[in-house]
Amino acid sequence: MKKRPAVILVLLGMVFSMAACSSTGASQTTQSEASAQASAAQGSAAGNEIKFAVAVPLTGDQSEQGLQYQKACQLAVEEINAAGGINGKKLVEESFDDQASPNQAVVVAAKIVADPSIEFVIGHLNSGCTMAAMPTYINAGLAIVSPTNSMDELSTQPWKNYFRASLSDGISAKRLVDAIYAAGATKLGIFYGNITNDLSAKEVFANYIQKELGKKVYAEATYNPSTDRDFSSQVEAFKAAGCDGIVFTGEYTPAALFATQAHSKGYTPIMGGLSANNPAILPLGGKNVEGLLTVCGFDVTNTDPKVQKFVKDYKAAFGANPNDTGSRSYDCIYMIADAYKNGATKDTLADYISNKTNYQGATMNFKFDGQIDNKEADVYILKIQDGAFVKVARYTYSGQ
Amino acid sequence: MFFQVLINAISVGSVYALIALGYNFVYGILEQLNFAHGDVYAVGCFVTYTVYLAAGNVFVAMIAGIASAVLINLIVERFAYRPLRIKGANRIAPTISAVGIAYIMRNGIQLIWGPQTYRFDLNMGGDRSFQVGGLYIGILQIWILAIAIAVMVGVSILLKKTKWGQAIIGVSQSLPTSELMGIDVNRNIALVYALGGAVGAIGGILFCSYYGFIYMGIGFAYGTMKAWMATVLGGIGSTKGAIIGAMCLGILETFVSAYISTANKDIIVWGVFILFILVRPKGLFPAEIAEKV
Repeated sequence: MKKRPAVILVLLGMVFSMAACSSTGASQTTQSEASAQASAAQGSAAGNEIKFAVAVPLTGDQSEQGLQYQKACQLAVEEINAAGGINGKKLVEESFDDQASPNQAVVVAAKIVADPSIEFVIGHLNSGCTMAAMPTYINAGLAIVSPTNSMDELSTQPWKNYFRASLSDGISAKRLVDAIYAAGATKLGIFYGNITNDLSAKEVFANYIQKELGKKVYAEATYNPSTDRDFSSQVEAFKAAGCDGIVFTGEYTPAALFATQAHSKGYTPIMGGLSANNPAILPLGGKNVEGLLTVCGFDVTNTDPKVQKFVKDYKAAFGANPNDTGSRSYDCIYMIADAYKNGATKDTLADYISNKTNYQGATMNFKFDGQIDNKEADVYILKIQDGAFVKVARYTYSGQ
Repeated sequence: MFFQVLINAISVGSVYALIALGYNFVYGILEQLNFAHGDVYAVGCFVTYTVYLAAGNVFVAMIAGIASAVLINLIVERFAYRPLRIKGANRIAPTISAVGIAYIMRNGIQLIWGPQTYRFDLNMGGDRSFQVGGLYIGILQIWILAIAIAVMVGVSILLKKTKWGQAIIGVSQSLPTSELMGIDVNRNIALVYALGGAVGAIGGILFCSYYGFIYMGIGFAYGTMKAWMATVLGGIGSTKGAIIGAMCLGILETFVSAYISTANKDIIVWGVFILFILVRPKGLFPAEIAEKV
């Protein structure tokens, strides 16, 4: 009898854990499940399946972005399979939770390469996780495509099996700064998160403003994305420095909170957020984020039928508009499917993407010309106006 | 700038204080590091949010949220902490249990409400402020400070002036002696958790209203870490200490950010915290409950 409470507690934990796993939609696995599935899959994959891994945060603070990845891949997989698959083979997605942690990313990478039935990887969400996991993938020869990695330093890595669909922070950040000045700001401050990706972006902002534009950065302030939600000190610092424009590196939540707290203190600078394009910022920030500028890999208002079909299907499936995390993930799957249809295999996929891919997707195009960066990537400057994103400008890889 | 920073600092401190009170209540009486405190109140806040959206009544929503936090704390106490206490486990065992409960709560929130951040607006004036000269003072900031002091006074009266409060103090001093005196130890400890959950949920709801958002991670960063720091600074077991400790923490964080460095804020704040506990390990107002009876 005395053991009953402990048993109930364990069962409660199991129920929550199982439910949390199932909530991710696709086949997210625990370590033991992954091992078991790996063994089982070795037989089936060789026949009528092309299995791939999605390695993103599925739990923790950044899981929302990770789940967008997963959902968009799921949408593409369902469409491709419904249309007959790839050369008669079904695409199969298996998700792995890297928790946005480089340590966990290495563990996840080891699990992925241990499964010989996995033919390519979509991920990771964070550049830092990719940097940590790449040695494992390189040794295994797997092709890795990241829809979101933006750290500038990735462009110069000597990797032959890694590609990113998005533009680097350098190009996006410069265009965002241009847009803030064009909107009327004269004295810019930089607000950044104290994490690897944001520190890299902050350097890009500072170098561009000071060295390329010959202007001054009037104030800099940082915050801890994991623990800080009160930005009153940062608001006072920017206000005291006379900043009438702020470029911001972080996600939509701190962007909305900063804008809200600034407005409550009568401070209304022109804001530009490098990663603030999540549609969730609209209800969260309300009137306080009106006029906020941001960067996005696709324009949700684009009237192109292919774009609108994707937006409509995504919204129907998941109840919300996608941002570029979703659009790029969706098109990455189609780009890889195209490679397979044209003869690529697990062993030749990286080489095919690097040298032969020239694919026009629903929301973006792909061409790598032997490099890591996608030469066909676009960047859109969007602005929040009347509670919705509207396009301000579009730039290509060359910055034009 | 100085006076605006000071007002901001007091506001931050008030928010920490309200959350720290519930944490300190359990910690002070049972001497247990309750790492699940923040995640329990996070559930209460999400219930408040959901009921408010459905019913549109702020009082119904708050009562539902507080009740859910109380209920969860009672269940957790009954099935996770009490068995360990009865078996005479060392103090670290329930602490580990609490960490496990915190993760279960957080995953439960993600399962039900998802990982996204929601706007939390109960129409309590969280985004309204008035101007005095060049200074902006939030209306909810004043409410939070007032409620923190009211809860502190209420809890102190409850403990010192009521029979139940005296029983709790007896339990905090010695479990075996309390049992010999005829005090129902299990019932009183459960009540401590229930009250801790209720106070925590009130703090959490005001926290979410003040900052205007809610997401699954609010429990750990504020409910656990900040409350724990505030409690240690103020003195374990002292309601007055919890409030003053939280104020000190809020003021320290805000002024370091404003005048020294936002980049090195955590290093400086933790450095000061470590130095402080080296000099005064029992905090500013230590062991009020244990020694004053």
